Amino acid sequence: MDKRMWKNHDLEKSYDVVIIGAGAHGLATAYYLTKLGITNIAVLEQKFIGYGGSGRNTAILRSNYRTEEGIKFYDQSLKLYENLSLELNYNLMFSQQGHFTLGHSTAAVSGLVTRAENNKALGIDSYMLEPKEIKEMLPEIDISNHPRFPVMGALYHPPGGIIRHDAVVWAYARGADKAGVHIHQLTKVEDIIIEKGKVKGVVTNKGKINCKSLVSVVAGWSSEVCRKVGVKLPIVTHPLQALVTQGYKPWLHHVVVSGSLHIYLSQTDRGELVCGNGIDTYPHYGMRSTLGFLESYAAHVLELFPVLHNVAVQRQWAGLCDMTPDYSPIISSIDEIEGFYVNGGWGTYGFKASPASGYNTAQMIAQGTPEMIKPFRYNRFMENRLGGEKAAASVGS
Amino acid sequence: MEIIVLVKQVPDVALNIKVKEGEIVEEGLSYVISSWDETALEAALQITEDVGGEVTLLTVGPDKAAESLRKGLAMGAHKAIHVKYDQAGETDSYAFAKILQKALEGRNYDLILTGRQSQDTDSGLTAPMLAEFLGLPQVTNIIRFSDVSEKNITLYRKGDHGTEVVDMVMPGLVTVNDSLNEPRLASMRGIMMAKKKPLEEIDLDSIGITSEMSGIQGSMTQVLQFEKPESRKEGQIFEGDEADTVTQAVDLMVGEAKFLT
Repeated sequence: MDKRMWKNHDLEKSYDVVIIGAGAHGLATAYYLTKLGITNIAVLEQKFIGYGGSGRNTAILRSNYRTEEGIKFYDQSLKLYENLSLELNYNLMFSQQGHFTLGHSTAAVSGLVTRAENNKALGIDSYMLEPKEIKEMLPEIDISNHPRFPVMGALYHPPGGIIRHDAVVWAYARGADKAGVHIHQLTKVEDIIIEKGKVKGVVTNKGKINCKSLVSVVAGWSSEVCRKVGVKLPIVTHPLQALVTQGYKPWLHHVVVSGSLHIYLSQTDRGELVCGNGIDTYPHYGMRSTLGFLESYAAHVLELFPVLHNVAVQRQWAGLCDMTPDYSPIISSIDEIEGFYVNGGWGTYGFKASPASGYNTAQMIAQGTPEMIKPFRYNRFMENRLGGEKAAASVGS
Repeated sequence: MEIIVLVKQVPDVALNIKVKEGEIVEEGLSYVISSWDETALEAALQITEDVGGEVTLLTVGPDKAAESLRKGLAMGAHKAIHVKYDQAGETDSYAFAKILQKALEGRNYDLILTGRQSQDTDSGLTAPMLAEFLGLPQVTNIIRFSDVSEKNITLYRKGDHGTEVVDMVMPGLVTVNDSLNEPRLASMRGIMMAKKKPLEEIDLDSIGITSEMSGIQGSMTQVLQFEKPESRKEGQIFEGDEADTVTQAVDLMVGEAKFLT
């Protein structure tokens, strides 16, 4: 019996839809397209599935965003995630353990209060906690006045949590494969063929494919793909670094984020602490780990949790963040090119969006742009209608 | 006990190292402490934790080598010496040993520890040459040590015909086999503290290394070019019932592959 979760195929000469990028978003797009009756799909991946941001994130899920469009979109994503293990018949180890966003100044706390109110108005479980209440739930946190950034309050979001990120990729890949999608790994798009303003196909290192619809779902590499068709995205790609410690007995039972200290951490079921930082300040496509990140992370996390001083760092890695000016994604058709779609600009908040991103992108391709993602259209940058999500990015630069 | 640990910064061999026109492609490389040197550092830390004393890291290399020193300091070394040197690519073990000799002259130490070879060149020559230049006893490729006292240390070296047990009078130089220990990981506090530990920078002039003694001029051998080892052909997987697949595998080994006759 073939135990592989997805099959290898030779390239067909033509597909209805070609998706560039086999990360969680690309595979989810393929999966949800099959739900809409479109199954003649190729997902092209230059490396292997989950090589990009899907395999390099810190697997935190939440929907406590700031703007109406952000909150609704991430709420849809979280709800899809809640049902995903069942739907894809794959244990994704989603642990809805609750999510703290700490405030270390009166200005920060005031921003969190706005978020809590916006969240509540849209039915999201999200509220403020006093330092004493925080201490009850996070006994090891230092809420004294000693640190440079004392804890003055927190936005608490009970449905937030962590998930097994690789499993999400694998489960979507298996789901899409079962429905007839062709996943082509090690297949790099070298050129995109446009004739008379219409998408005709792509040229890959393995040959040419004709298609009616083409969607770029490549996050950190979005600018590179869109440059091939002359679409200039207002995206700047920055690396973001993360680390994982050795495994320890369970002591941290919630996700903790501190915007001012530029850190977030959670403890996996295996006991390792998964720790992330803000984006590196320089734009770059290199995914190199630096000692500077380790040093700054260690200094900052010990301010919050002095108890971690002996915790040993096992390894570190970096991923790419495609940052838009308004910290919101681009999920859009492109007026000038019929049949070409962009799904990118996922910055530091892409993994948690995977299901909603795939779901809405599939709808957009099959039936036209749904209301949910109209605020994320490409033209907003030309219309001067940017979103206001920057304040709610976990640890924005 | 004053211990000097010689460390070398090498390209991370876990990453794909590319060779183009006989040269290693620098782009995309990441640098780490040569793993045998990490083993030596771990041994040094264990000894000083046991009998007291300090561990000093010493490296010869370009600016970026300082990062490896700070990683070693984060693991627990007390201080570091960085001999700034930009001609590492065209320098052989002999010239490196000369530079190290000059860097160590006049310094106080009981033991010099390092890896039995470096992860990039695999030559294993620098440390033995250095011991000769310094006139020190040397024991190479140790897999265990015991009975550390002020003047002596018992060393178990992996020889050609088994384990050789050697009692060495200090000061001396020892190179380590990677089976000696499992190097510790840096802790959060260690990483923070490393920034405040002393890191002494030295230039070649100050230790009396002239241009004739460094780079190509100071070297007795020269690397002409690098080549990638040939990659192995893809293997064949036999799927199905054991009774069939074993026969198929044996047929292949006897027939086409001429592996069994």
